[in-house]
Amino acid sequence: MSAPGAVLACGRSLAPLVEQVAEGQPTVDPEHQAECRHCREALVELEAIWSEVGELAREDVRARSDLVAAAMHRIRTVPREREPRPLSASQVRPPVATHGARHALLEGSGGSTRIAAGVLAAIAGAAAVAIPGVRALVGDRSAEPATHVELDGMSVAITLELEAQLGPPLPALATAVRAAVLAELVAQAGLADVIVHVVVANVADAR
Amino acid sequence: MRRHESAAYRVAVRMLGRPADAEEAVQDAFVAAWRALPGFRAQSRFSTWMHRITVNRCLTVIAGRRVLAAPLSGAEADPGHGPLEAAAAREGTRAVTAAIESLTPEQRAPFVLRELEGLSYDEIGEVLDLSPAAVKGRLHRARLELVEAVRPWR
Repeated sequence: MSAPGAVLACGRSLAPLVEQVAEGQPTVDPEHQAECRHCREALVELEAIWSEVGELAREDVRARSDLVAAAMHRIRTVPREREPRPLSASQVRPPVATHGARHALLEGSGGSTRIAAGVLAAIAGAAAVAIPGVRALVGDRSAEPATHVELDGMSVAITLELEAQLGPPLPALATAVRAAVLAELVAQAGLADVIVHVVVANVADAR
Repeated sequence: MRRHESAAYRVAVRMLGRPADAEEAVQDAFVAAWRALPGFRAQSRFSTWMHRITVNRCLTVIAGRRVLAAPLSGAEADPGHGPLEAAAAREGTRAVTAAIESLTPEQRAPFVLRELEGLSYDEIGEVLDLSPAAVKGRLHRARLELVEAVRPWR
């Protein structure tokens, strides 16, 4: 046997033999197979391989016993969503108001990189709405921009207005949003100096 | 949840090799499933849906690994030291385990679901978002690749 699509020395293709063994399909060409040494050798090898596959399938693979408990613990610490929340287009690129420069400027030796304020707002918005307890950016619901970006070279001050879920403490939520937005802006946009202001502009019940 | 735990873990460990990665993927999958439960519609069986979430999580982990491991790609060429080695408890299944690991994730997923978990083509199609015919095609290529990959071990 050789490469996939291989042809045996007798001129028959290996592929139907593989299906014959793997799926237990009836022999396509019983008369030839009964006679042909090459086909029989290939079948013996394939049967051996599939018996190992079967052995592997029967192997008792068990997760450690506290795996479900660990997942349940994580679930208890994360509020449940009423329904899955796909990112809307406006969350990907929220309405943004810029102050100062309209691009972040990253100087390099071979040329400069400029990143539009709207891109920074999109990165920040996506990071913010991924935090459990953040229901939306306020700009999703109104014409007013939810995100203000103030730029000076590699420094950015970003203000996010958001709608929180009613219930959990808001200062902790703001801290989590700040940390996530900061991490994403540093990692994705390469900014050196990031200030994140969080404005909790609305709260709403999960229902 | 416990009922689906072992199936999810089995799939994850075959997809990812390292038990620690599989544990994390299964936890992520359970958390994701729990959060998305209100969106679950009984069009498919819960177990199929759970497989779908687990396999997608595994594919994401593998995609992330590729990025991280890119500069070290030379190391992948050695079939003898793959992470699945640790998962293969028995000598007899070592070759098959290593060969499964050598499949592309796109081939590995249907192979694991069909040959190790015994799902039907229709169920695998639901898990992977493929038509049963496409599942059949991928599975066929995966089997041929596996036969090739097993040979150096035998």
